[in-house]
Amino acid sequence: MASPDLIFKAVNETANKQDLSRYDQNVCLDIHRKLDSKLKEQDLSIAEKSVFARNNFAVMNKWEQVFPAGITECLREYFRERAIWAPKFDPRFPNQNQAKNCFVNYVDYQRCIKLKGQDYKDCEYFKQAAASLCPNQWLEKFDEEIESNAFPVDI
Amino acid sequence: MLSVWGQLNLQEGMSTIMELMNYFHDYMMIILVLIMTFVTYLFIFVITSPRLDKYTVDSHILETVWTIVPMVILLFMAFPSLYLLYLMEDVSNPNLMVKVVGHQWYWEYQYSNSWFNYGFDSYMVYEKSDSPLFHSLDVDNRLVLPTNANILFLVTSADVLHSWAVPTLGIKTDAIPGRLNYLSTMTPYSGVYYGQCSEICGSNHSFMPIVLEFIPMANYLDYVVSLSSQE
Repeated sequence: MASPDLIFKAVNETANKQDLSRYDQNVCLDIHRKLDSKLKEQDLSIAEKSVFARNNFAVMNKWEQVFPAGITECLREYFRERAIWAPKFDPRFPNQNQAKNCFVNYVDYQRCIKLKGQDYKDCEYFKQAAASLCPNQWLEKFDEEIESNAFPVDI
Repeated sequence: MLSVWGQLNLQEGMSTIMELMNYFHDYMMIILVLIMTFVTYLFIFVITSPRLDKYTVDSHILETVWTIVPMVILLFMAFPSLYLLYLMEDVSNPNLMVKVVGHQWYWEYQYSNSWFNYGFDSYMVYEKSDSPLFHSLDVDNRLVLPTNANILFLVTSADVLHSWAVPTLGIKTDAIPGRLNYLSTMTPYSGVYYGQCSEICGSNHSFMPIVLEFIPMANYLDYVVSLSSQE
């Protein structure tokens, strides 16, 4: 699990010798990138990253006492955007009906765990995308069909 | 926001798109009222004026003018219309996805994100007339959402056709079984917004309202965390 030291390191490495009392777009983007790369080094899952952002967003009043106003605003923006994860716009499905988007992500998840095993970390994207897109009733139906070998597509 | 008795205009826009649509509607209304006034004036003039030339057979200049001028008016109407139409086709990345499933005769909402999966039903509240709740509009469980977040609704149905609409946000989409229609909205304003089912779906079609409650993101995250800890 990521620790608050990560945030201190990211801020100190990027925001040296800058006027930090005001929000500066360029400094803020650097901090975001640094935080992203540090979280990537930690190899956290999507859910763990969201929970890290959510927990830090909840204690923003404490970060306000530690960092100057410009940095606090930047961190608030960072945690706010990442507290809840949603899959990005998929250009393969630009139209209004997203049923195929849901189905394709579910199939990709099943194929991923079949090829790589249940614990393979990178399959998590497909699982989270399917969970975000597909109604629960559809997911239950797909699961039943897979168990009873009646799924319409070869996994 | 909700409609009131004797309301002539659209509901006040609470999302960015609906505000623009209201401005566009007002702009079009100005043009149309001017055209209607002009046509009414001409009509009365033709009927009542003694100075009308009854022996005009043709006039090329007149025909040219009354082709070019409407064309210019249409251009002035088309540009903002197409601008707004393409602005509505928003492809920005959503911050939150909410699934909406229509049933006979209630809505089911499902929040799912990487650390949370919660679903609940939203039934209309049958109250007596002296109740503080709005008649045939209030529900037992409101859909709580954060402000200043791009929210993507994915609407489908479990049985027959329904339609999920919230007029003050300018959103409406049909809930069709087997389809998953998406709707995107963003509002900076906290508040409670109402809507009603907009596709005939049986005897209680008029009694399955939609209520959205927008709160700041910090409060929304606290709410979602409290729900997940109750599960």
